[in-house]
Amino acid sequence: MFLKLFSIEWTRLVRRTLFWVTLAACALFIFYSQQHFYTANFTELASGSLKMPGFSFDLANSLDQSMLIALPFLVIIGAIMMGNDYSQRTNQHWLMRAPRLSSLLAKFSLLVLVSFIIQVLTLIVGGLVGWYFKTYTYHVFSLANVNWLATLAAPFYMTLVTLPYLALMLLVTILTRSTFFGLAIGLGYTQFIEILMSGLIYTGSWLRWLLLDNLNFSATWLLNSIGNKIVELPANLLAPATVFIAAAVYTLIFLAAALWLYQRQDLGG
Amino acid sequence: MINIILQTTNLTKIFGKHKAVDAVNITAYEGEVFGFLGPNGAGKTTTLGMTLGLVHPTAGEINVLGELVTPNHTHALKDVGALLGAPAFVPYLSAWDNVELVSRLSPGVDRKRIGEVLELVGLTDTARKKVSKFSTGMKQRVGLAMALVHRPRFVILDEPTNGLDPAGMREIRQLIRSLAENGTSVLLSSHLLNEVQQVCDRIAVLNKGRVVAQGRVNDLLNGSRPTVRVSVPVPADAARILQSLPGVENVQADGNSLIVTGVESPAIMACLLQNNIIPTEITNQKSSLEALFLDVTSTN
Repeated sequence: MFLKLFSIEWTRLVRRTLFWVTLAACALFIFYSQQHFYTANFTELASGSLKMPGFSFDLANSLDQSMLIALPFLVIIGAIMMGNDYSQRTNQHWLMRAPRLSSLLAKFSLLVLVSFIIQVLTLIVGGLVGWYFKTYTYHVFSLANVNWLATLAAPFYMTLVTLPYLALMLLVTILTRSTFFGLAIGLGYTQFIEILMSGLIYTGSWLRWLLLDNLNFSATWLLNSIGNKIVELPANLLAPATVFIAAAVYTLIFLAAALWLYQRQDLGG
Repeated sequence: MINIILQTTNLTKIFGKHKAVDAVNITAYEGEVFGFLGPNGAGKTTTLGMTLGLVHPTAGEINVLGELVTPNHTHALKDVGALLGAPAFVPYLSAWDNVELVSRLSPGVDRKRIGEVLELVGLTDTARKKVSKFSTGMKQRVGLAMALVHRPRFVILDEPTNGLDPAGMREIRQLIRSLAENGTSVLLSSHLLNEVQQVCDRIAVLNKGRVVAQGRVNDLLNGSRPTVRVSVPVPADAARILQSLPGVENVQADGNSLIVTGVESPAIMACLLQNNIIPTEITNQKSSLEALFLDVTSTN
């Protein structure tokens, strides 16, 4: 039943303009961000006053930058996917014949897949832009120093970074039964409150256990491994392994709370 | 032996302090069209929501096709089709896509069946058009197609003729009858009493969350109180006199006429003549579901 529900959610998503706008926006953002680096620094890069970064920079930087744009779009998709089931009352079709657990997991899994697709897309776009400029503008393209295993692993852990947010989105939308409130709270948290709170993480207290910058920094730290670089981890932040375990725990807690609520809701006509 | 298709036992739902459904016991049998009536807010949709595993009962049980149904146990509902309230669909998809989407949850539904069901509800020509561009009546037909696509044994239809023109309403009534003739059991919830009277074999009337009448339509109509229309020169005087006549339950003014329930026409005639009021016309009203409905819902 899970696979049937997943296929239904997939069809509903890919037939939406929003999905394709999301992919286009993420690709364009990375394209612009990467090409801006090469065009804005043309004189310095051509003269050698600015060291030409390796191809690993194109891959890692694209993924790092992608979080700026991917997260708000994932929040929008998550809120609309869950909220429309309430406003259009389509959940009655699925929940008459399928357990609520399967329905919720199908939606969550699809959001995870979308997040992964965005990571892979940005990796490809960033790589192509870097390849193009290095090959045709600067004539210095080289694959040396690219850790391909780390490159392959990167979209996976970058997706993991988004999981707590995706689960939180589902929880908020189920709690409010509203696309609008899901969107408002989700965007408000990820784009405003979290940024305000991120300074608190450096106080060294229990606040270190909030995901906030921990997740982003851990992801960035890991992305350096694409270029075989080792960057020192700030003392106030948690180790990446701990952060990813904490992210998984947060995800499970949010999902469990969402399911608990969803299973207790009355969803009449 | 006739199988029970739906049975609720002391089904109760309380929202906060409001008892929306109060110990409802209804039984619907295989192959029949069962009417579910009640004024607005009587608890019909909540009862249907519980039947479809969408609303948690506070107390009581629901058996559908011999299996217990709860929001966490909906196995029996695989053979049930439903149109609950306004039709629910994905607006940016076509009628065909919406029906196909729902059909994925049921095995054995192929493209041929989707085409058949869209033809059955009269949407063949507009099957590829986005549902958001449909009229209310056409949306209703999409909802019906979604309810019927997997050849359910039991169909629950909540106001299925909403938004349809008279010809469309007649088509749907014929469709409901043909479903029953082909062995599909139907529960029809409607506020159109004439529609229910034409289509249903048995009915249950819900009022303030309680079942106030249940049985075969003919049996209930035969057992209903006599209703007599009396035309008199001065209705106000006649109404006052008739209200004091033993057995009269209700006297309602309707222009120059009075509608009297509870006693037969000879007693009314005698009473009026005794009081020197000569009626210009006196007719026995044919028992109708409307009269029965008003009777049981006002009494309770």
